[in-house]
Amino acid sequence: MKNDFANPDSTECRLVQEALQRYMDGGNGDLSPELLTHRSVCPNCLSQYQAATLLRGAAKRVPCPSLGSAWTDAAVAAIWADTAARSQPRRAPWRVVAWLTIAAALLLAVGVWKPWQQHEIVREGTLARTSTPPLYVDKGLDEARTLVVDLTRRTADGAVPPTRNLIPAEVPASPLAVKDSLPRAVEPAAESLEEIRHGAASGLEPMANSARRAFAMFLNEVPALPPERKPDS
Amino acid sequence: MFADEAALVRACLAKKPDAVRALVERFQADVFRLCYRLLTNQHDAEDVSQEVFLRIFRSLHRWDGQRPLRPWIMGIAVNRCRTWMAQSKKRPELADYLQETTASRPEDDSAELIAEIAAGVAELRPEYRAVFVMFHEQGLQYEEIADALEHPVGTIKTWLHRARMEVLERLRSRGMVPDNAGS
Repeated sequence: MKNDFANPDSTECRLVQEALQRYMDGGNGDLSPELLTHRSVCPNCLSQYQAATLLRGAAKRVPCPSLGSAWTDAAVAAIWADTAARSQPRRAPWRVVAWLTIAAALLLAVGVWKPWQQHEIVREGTLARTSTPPLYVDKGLDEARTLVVDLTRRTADGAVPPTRNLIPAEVPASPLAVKDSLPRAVEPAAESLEEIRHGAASGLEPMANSARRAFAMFLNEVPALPPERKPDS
Repeated sequence: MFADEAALVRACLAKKPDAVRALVERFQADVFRLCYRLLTNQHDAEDVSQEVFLRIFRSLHRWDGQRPLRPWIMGIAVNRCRTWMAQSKKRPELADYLQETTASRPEDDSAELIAEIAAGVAELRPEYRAVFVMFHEQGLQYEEIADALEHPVGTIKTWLHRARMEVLERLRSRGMVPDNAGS
């Protein structure tokens, strides 16, 4: 096996190598008489110097393919095409990305803000302020009142005709005459009253249910109050 | 026609067709040779060389007129080759390189020596190879190479020194240097 090139521990070899680098840089690589003697007796330095001489003379002769005029034409055409494309007004990609980022941030902010807006945040016994739609109590009451009035009117309208049947068509002039004429009408009147009771009950039932629902709606609209804390808690 | 680099660049920035072509023709050989040495593939080198010139004309307005144009262009070429190698994720195809080199080797006694030098250069690390090619094949000075590669001159000298030693070692190990040299 051949020895390595310059021995780094040898001062002479290191100096010869430095001279060799100057020679490869284009200088003459002159050596002092002592180093010339060393190079002539040191096989590593000698072979290194001869290899450097070969390399210096042949490095520029290493072949390389050449580019033809077709490549030049294609390159120039590509340059003009690129120049034309870049001169077109267009949005830079970073601007598009920036706009997309802003839009995404807005969507995210709305998505976070909406649920937060619709829920109460109670912290440390304090009813946090929320931005839920304002609750209008008078509006709910108005609706409930209108509903009750409508139902009452409808029920009353339905109860009026049977009630009128209880009233004689011809009212006697004196109360005694009425008293005399009543006994025969007692039995039918009892049946009519029963019908009225059932009619009223069935008529009032939806009203009661509606009123109950209206009141339940009202209670649902009223925000829940935080639990009261004990003074010592 | 455009003896002055600054005048050539100004004409290119003015989008004069003859200037654009003149700049390409002036530097295409150096750019392609460097790309070919670094990529060791002719087709890749042709593609990257075209990309290099696209980059050159895109950033020509940023060129400092006080500095030489050639190292600036070589720096762009080296950067594009680095990007290409990083993207391709493949090692230089030495066999392909040697095959093409052998096919075009000169017909003289030094053909074997030149082939060994080419193979030795191809085996160098990319930064060593770039420094070696720019110095020995393209004749750039240390300062110009340092400017192109954006490294200190001392680093460039170290890289070139190591590149030479590796190539010399290959020449010797391949028997290009006679054992009885000097005797």
